[in-house]
Amino acid sequence: MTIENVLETLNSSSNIENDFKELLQELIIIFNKFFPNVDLTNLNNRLKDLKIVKANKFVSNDVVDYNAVNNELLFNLEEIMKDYDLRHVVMHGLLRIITAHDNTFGFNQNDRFIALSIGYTEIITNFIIGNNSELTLFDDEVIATNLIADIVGHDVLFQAYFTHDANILAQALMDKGVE
Amino acid sequence: MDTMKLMNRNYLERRCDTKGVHVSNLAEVEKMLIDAYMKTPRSKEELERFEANLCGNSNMFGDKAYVYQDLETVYSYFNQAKENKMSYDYENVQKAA
Repeated sequence: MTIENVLETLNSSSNIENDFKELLQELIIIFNKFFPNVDLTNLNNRLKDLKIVKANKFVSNDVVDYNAVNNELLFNLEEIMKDYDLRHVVMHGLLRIITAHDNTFGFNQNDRFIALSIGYTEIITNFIIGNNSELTLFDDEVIATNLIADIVGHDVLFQAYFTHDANILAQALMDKGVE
Repeated sequence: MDTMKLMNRNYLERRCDTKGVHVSNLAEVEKMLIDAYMKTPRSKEELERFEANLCGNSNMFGDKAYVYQDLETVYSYFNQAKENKMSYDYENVQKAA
């Protein structure tokens, strides 16, 4: 799947407003420059009918969330009004779409690694695009995930994250004595 | 895996907390990770990097921070674990010699 195909799919989407399409396009290009070997087929398929939803805190307490089943990128209305770096927030959401599978994303499986997937998504987001706001996302998960990366190695997390392979992660955690 | 369960609980409880009463158990998670980290031989540089990663960021200590349970105990826990490890490693080196 080429980046051109993905951008074409994005531009043909009728669910997404033009301003937001432009932002997504910019972020997809940046992602692809950082990680040209990550397959974008999943993103392409999901962009076809991706919906952008403004939610209240009772739907999602996090500033950004992604519902992989309904293919909805959710923004918490109350939170998004605060002084977040919007590009950072949207990049976090984009990574969840790129790595979405079943009803979840990244290396999460049956909610076994949900916090770790959140933390790693945020670490990758920080790496790709930084954060121009004092408001940060998922601090606890980022801190714990950084420590886990020190234990099992960043390469293991990276591989597991983009291939949705919870098994290599579980094995590495066991091998390193994470109980 | 208890560490993952604890991390997940911390995240899900905060996520569902619409009243702002969440108390973070990050300290407990960090202590479990310190224990795991010390099971493998570590260089001085690795130990220093891990120690630096324990502290997180300044947001944890501002007005907007969650309430962190026992976070102040993490460094003393780490230092104790580091001392134990260094003396254990030293004894093993002596024995090998």
